[in-house]
Amino acid sequence: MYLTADWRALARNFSPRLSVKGIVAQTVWVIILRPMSSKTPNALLHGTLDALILKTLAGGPRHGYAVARFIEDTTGDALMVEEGSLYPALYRLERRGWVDAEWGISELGRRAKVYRLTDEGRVQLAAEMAAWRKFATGVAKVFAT
Amino acid sequence: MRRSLRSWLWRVPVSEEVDEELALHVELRTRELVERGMDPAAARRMAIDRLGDVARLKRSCVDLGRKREREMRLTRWIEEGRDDVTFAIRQLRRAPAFTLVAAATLALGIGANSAIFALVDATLLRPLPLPDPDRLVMAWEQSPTSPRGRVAVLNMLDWNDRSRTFARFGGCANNVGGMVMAGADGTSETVDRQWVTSGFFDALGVRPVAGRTFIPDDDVKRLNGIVMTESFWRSRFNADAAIVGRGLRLDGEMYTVVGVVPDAAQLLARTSIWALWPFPERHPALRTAYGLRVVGRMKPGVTLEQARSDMAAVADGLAREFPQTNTGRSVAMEPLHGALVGDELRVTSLLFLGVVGVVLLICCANVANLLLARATVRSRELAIRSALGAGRRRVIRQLLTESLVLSAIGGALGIGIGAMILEIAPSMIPAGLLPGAVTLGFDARVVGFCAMAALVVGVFFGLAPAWQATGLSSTLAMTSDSRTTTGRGGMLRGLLVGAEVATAVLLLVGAGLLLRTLLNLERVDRGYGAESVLTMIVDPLGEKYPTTEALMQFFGDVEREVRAVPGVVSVGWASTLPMGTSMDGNWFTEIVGDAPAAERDRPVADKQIISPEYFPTLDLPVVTGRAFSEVDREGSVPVCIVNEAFAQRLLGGRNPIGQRVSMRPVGAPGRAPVVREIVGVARQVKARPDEADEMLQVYVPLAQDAQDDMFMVVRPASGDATVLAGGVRAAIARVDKEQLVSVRGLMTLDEIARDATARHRFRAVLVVTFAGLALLLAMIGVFGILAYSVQQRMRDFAVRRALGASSSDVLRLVLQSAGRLVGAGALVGLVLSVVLGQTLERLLFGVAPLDPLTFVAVGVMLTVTAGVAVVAPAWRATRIDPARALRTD
Repeated sequence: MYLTADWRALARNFSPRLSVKGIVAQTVWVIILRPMSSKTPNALLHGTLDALILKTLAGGPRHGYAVARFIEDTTGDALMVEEGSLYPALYRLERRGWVDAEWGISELGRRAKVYRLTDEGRVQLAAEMAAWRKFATGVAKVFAT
Repeated sequence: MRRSLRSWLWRVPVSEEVDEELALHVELRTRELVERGMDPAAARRMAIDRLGDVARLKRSCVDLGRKREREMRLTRWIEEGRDDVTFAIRQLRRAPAFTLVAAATLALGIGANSAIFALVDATLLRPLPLPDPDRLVMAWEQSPTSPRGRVAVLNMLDWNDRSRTFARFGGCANNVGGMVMAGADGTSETVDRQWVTSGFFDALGVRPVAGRTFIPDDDVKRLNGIVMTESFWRSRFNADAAIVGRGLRLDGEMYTVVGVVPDAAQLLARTSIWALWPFPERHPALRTAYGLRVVGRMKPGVTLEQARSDMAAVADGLAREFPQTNTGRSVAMEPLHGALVGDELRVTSLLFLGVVGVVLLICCANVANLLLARATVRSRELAIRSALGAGRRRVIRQLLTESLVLSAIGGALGIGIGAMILEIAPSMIPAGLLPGAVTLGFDARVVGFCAMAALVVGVFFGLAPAWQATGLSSTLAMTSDSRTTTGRGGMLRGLLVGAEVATAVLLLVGAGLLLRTLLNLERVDRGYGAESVLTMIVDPLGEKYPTTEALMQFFGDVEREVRAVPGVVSVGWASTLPMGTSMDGNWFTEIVGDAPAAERDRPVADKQIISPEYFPTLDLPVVTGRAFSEVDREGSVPVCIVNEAFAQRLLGGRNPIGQRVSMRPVGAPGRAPVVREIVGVARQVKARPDEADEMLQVYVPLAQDAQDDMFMVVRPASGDATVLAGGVRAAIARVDKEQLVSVRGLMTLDEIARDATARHRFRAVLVVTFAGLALLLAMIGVFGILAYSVQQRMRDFAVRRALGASSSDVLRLVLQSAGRLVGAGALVGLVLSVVLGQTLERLLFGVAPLDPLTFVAVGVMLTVTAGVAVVAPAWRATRIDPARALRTD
């Protein structure tokens, strides 16, 4: 049933109208289901998400969902991608010119917006990785005392 | 940024795209969860919930997406703009003559406008460079006989004490001469000085550059203090940092320098120093000493109405306290800016702005003409562009960019021209025309005005041709020949250019007449023969030489010293200079024994006191009788010499020698007349270069009527007299060891004569400039129209040539159309000059308003310039190869 669901009908679900059902579902997820998952969510530092996305795309063009899955799979679910911030991050990266987007066909046969790393994005990625290494080294030194 | 063709062509809205993306995400997440074993409905719910607040997510994504779109559009717009500009520059480079002419036209228009704008800005827009300038007013005493008179000292002090709406009043007395400043090398120099009260600078709010300004305490201490202007400090004292507290000897007394203020403080009149006029006691005589110009600063929040009623009450109180002096006297006040600048100047500058704005419009019309001529050549290119898909708006945008680039070039040049005009203008404007508060400066505001003018002008003259050029149907333009018709516009343009020619002719005639007037004035026979004579005012302070003997001794000593200076041939003294000012003024004269003339016709003569050496120094011959000599001194018979006009007018044919003249000063009816015997008649000397009636003069010997404020005239053996200046000053310093003699106004007689014609020169220069501008514009207009019409008639001419007409026939056609245009305009202009010539009459000298020489000269000039304007299009018309022109389509 979900396979054949019209994506427009799905879109209607995203209307800003508040529904009791929506609130209940969200509360259930936040209070009950999230802690129940075996992952201990480590909050991502602000800005790190951008770096992770860039690195993910360095491996090849992907659409949004694939980026989230890649991060989850690679970190072994140790890092929880807050999905509500994934897409805004992708849009911001696109606006900054580090990432290019193109509409292609997904594996489902539907249109998907595929993101690709640009040359400036590559440069930015290198910079972020270098900054992260410096940060990590510093923290490690403090922890080693 | 690449997007799929579909989204680019159809412009899918961002919100739909966001929906699609998020839907896919939910879809895939749901699949994943189902694969893990979740119930599909629950899986979907979880997938959606994991997105968090979906509505907000969608909103922020749509927001970001839209921002990106806008930025992309902006980048594309900027890139297109950049391409347009590059293309425009390339196009302009390919037609250098056109670019040069158009840019020069615009530069002239914009430059002239910016100069006049600077004037309008200084007189109307810019506030006074003082803190809270709208609090400042100028105050006068109002009496039954004079609505705005100077203020008495004690009145001002009482106003200051008793008013409730004013924070401070301050007074200034200007035009009261200068002070003699003792220089370090023994010479002395006269500096301009104004007297101010202690509250003056406080009332204005002037901040000193160094030291301080006067405070009320200075009054009590009777401080001999001065404040100097910044430029005086820099020029005379080299911006010496230790100037504050330094002592200066002025008029024989020691004064302390209290501070230095910026030049902008010279609002009321230009000066070098302000000296404190202390009033520690209130002497009753000061109640009627009406000498001050008063400024007042109102307290914050007070309106002019409140201030007026308050001061009226104060004046009433004073009138009751001092009935003899203050009855009927009240206070009049105006905001300071208006009082200083004056309505007449403001109206004049607005008038100038209007005139120069019209000039700019004419420039625009000219350039639009030129653009039209070019646009027809490019009609095919434009048609191809629109056929390839560029919308009309896009093509117009490109043409507008070209106009804007052209006007930007014109504007940049215009800034240079405006700056140049403002550099030389102050020296051309006669002194006293602009008040001290008005300074013409080329600052950021004027540059901003230029930029704005260039922008507006670019759009203005570019829009019409762009609109017209793209209005043609593309097929028509591509397939047909260049026979685009613009009949309606053509008539209007022809009329405009004709009007330009008429204006140019009118201005040229005026310029010619004024120039001839100026030349005539300068060539007038002044009467004296000396080539170069140095003059100066030598004014010893009264207390030093109280008696006539002492004064004569002083004059004799100075004469001796100056004669000893190498290069000096003769030295004389006089109280009036030819074409200069008269120290002694006008006196009523009549011959003793003749019937007295009627009140109104009483002859008035200029009395001039001279030393015996005066006539030889100026090489002025005594025609009849003898000159003054040693025998004429105090105690001997009072004698005088008259000039030729006097002898003519009062004595007719009689022998003047021996006749006696009775003289009484004009304006002092109580004085007893002085009787003198005529011993000689001197050659006539001009008083004003353009005077119709000859001035009557009576010369009186210095020994019999000594006074202390005299001109000294010095003649060199040969060459320019100005080289003697230093030597003469040193000679005077040798006599004046205490540095109490004011030596000022060093000028040669030539310079004095030139000053006398300053207004005529200014007028002539102004009209000549405008005439030149008008002629240039008119010729550019003629060129533009002719080029356009030749362009239009290319095929016509080619057909004629093919049918056997020679190139001179074609040339004749072109010249005929040019001749019609210029001739019609010139005719109208000539008629106008004849009609308006009468109004110029009183400004002319030695030249009739219908002077044939001027008209002929103007005609010749017009023909020559018209010929230059016509050369290029005419040459082009004759060069047409008939076969090629027929082939082109």
